Amino acid sequence: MAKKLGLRETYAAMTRGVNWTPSYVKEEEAFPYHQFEGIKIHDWDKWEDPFRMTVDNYWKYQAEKDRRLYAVLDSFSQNQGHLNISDARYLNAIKIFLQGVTPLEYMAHRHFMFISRYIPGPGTRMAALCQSIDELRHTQIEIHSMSPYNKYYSGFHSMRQMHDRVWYLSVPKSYFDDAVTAGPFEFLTAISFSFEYLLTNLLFVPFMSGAAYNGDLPTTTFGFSAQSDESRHMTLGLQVIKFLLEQDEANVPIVQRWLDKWFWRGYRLNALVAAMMDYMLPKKVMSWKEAFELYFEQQMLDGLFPDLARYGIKPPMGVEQAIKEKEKISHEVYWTLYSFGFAAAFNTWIPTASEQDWMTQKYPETFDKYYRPHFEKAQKIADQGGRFFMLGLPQLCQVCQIPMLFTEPDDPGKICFRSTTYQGEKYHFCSDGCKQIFEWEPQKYVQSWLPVHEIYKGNCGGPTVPEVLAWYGIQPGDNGEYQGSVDQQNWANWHKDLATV
Amino acid sequence: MAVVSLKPGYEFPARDRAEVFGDDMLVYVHWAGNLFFCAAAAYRAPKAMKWGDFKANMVDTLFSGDPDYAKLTPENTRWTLNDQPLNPSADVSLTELGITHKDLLKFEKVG
Repeated sequence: MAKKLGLRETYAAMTRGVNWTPSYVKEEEAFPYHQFEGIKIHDWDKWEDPFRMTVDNYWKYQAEKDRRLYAVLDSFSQNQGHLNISDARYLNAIKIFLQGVTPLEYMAHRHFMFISRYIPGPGTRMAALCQSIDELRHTQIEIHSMSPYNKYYSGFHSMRQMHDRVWYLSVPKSYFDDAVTAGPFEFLTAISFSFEYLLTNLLFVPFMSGAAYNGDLPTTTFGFSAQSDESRHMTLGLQVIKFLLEQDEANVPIVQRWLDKWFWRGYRLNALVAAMMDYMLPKKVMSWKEAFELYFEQQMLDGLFPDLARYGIKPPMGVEQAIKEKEKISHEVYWTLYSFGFAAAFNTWIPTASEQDWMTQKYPETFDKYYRPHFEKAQKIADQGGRFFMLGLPQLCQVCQIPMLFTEPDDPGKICFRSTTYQGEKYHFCSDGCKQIFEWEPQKYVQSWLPVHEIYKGNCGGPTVPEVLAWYGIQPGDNGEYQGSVDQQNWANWHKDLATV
Repeated sequence: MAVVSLKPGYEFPARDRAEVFGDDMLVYVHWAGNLFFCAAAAYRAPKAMKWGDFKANMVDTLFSGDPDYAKLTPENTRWTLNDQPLNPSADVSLTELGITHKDLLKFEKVG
């Protein structure tokens, strides 16, 4: 009987062993996409995958994790687990996750499948294949974990339609569309490294710890089920960067440019997470500022970048500005969501007095001076029976597509306006970073599908707010003020009933 | 700088170029010094629209959502167009005021 192969040999056989040189077509016909970006690879065998995942191992492992997850979901539904979350307000964070992040998992699935077909290195192809299947599994288990809430709460019903159409969701959508329309190595730098390595903790930890703190068992269990995959993706991200940098010195400036671009794009995307984290979690985990300091400043700037310096890689463009903005962005973004809440597929509200005091304590330099006055004025309007909305449409940044709400790095009282002219047309940007990204590739960003301009061109269902909301897939109750909303009234009734049993 | 593309000729018309809007144009209006309005407002307005109509039907409607807007008068409000001083009068059209597609107007309370 033949000796059984060890893990290392199995992995080698499953990757390098199944590679072949095409004979019926030319190499460049089989692999047409990996050279135009200017990246030079001399030896694909230098690719090291520390996880050495093979397909048979992968199936066994993932099937076991799925069994555990679905057992929890069944029990949650049977036991009316949704009544045990901290407060119905919490679920607005999960609505944003489902509408904004889950469709990105699906896009990642599609494009890692593309990478696993078109990269000539067999080790890289295998890693991309496993990640592609992970991403599809994440899409499915996120939908399954969050769908039990759809039966009882608003805003969970049309995530796919909303993702393609709603104004604030064009922020994550355009981010990923930018990545999949780039070449394969830029995509890997953007998604595997900048997103999955540099910024992933800032995205996932707040959502998953937020879920755990607020009694959301399905999302917490999903988080655990995805965690081991995420560490594999992080490792892939770091391996991508080191491999590119070690293969040829000429790759260094190309990779640096991509890091500069994709740190800033990912960081701007995370501004939505910042608002969610400080404002939508009734039980707070930590502030955005604290999370940024821990997961970015300490882990990445102090931990990772000194290690990358030996390749000639510098911390990405915009880091100094991001550090200054940690005092501001969660407030600036939430205030914007509150102001345009009539057109969002989640509810917004004025934070309670104790929540505002928490903000004062966490943001002593800025909250009382710049943001508390907004809520006081909005409260005055509410006391007279009104609800403040900015009843119009905002100016958007041409690159990140976020409303032009960010302020000058050194002045929280002044909006940061940047603009340029390209081929006789004017373009506006929220920051030096977004302007720089435009100037590197203006031909790409002149095509941006900006939701505000599309509404004005008549491409979004009609000229009135109800017509646009219907086109978005937003139903009455999904949007607007939380106090007095369908969710708030149901929650109050359910808990009143429980109290009298 | 050019996009690094698979094939030459990566050129597309700007999606929101002036001609797409015909006799109208996009105009942005920002209340400087008052971030109760989180961002500048975007409008689609006819180029021939008189300033007085633009102000009354578009600007006032939106910005009066803040009770403090009532404190603004023509005397204590300073306007700029792309950060250059602007002295608009009601019966002049937007085009005659020099406003073009995607320009940024700001107003501010002075004194």
